[in-house]
Amino acid sequence: MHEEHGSWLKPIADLLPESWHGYVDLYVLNTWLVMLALVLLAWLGTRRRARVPSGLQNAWEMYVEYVRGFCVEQIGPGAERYAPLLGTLFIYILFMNLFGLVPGFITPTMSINVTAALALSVFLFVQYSGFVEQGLGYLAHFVGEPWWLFPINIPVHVIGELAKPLSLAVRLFGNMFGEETAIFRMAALGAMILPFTHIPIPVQIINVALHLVIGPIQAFIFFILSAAYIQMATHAEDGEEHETHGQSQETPEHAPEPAEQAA
Amino acid sequence: MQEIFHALGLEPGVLAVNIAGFVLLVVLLKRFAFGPVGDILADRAREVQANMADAERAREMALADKRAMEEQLSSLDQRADEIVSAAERRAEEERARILQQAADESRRIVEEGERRVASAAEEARRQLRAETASMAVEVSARALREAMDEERQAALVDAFIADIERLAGGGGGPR
Repeated sequence: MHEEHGSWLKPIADLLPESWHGYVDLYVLNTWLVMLALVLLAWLGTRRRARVPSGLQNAWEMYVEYVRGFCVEQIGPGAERYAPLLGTLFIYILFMNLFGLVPGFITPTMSINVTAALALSVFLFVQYSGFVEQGLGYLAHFVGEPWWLFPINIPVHVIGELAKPLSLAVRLFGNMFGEETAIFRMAALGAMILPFTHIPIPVQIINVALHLVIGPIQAFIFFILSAAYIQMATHAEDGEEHETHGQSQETPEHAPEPAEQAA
Repeated sequence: MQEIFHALGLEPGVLAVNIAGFVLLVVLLKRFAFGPVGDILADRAREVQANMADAERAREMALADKRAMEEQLSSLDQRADEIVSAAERRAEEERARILQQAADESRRIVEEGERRVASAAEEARRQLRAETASMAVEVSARALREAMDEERQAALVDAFIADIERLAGGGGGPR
């Protein structure tokens, strides 16, 4: 697909040694560019820490403060420690989703390898957080209630856990691949009708506008679902208690409903 | 497994590179963005808390000052009332003294006037007696000069007496 889209990085990709094939492709090169841009923006925004923030520093402060607040609200007290991971996840996906709109570049998230890598990272981190927060007790939620149904519950819960990264990866990949493909097809349509219209008509403009909306939304969904998965892994007993006792005992801090609804 | 990955378009090598890239990005953004900005926010939170504590201390001090000022103001009001009362008392005493002094002065003036009137009356009586004596001398001299008879002498005496009575009754009448 990337060969169809074309990219300024294609000549570089072609120059990569044979041993790199299978590890680095055009999408990976684009993700590296996005990473470089983000690190550069971070460095520029925080190299001179002014007492009264302005410009990039202000933007970074607003963003970090929002992510920290979101983590505490969604996951619980002390969840600021998850802010670097979740904050990086959102801004990285957002930049990647919109990167294809820059002429000469492609959207890395239209590659299943990129979205699967992100989903797998989140999955591994969620499992790690579950064990760190609850120890071996984390495994108890795989057994479920009543305990004697564990032969059924364990496979069901394991499949449920594995479905999370799968849904994350496929949702983001599907949306962005679909959007990019639609833009490409519409642009091709514009080229096809040019002999009849004699003036270029940007028929893909609606899809581009839609992409500007879908990109941030998909990034936010990935972000909010990752936070919800961490919340469920680190507060498994609370979650089960909520399910058992119904809505009345749920608190805004521990309720994963918004994320679930977004999913 | 290889076939499943291939069917899904997944390449384990690319997947691993992407995961490593993401982990590296998390580390770098934590180093350049989330860490420094978190420090800034923490510093600012500490500063705000310190400022709030200072403001609270200043507020308490201001309240204490206000209470002290109110107490001082209250004592000043009391002192002002005392001063006003003392001034009124002194003014009342002064008024009484001035009234007494005026009464004494008026009495003295009246007494002085009475004394002068009495002195003037005494002087008038003395002058009257002197004039009466000189008139008597004059009448006597006239009688002697005109050699008057009995009847004429009696008429002269009566006229003289009438003059005296007129003078005594009329005060400053014509002589």
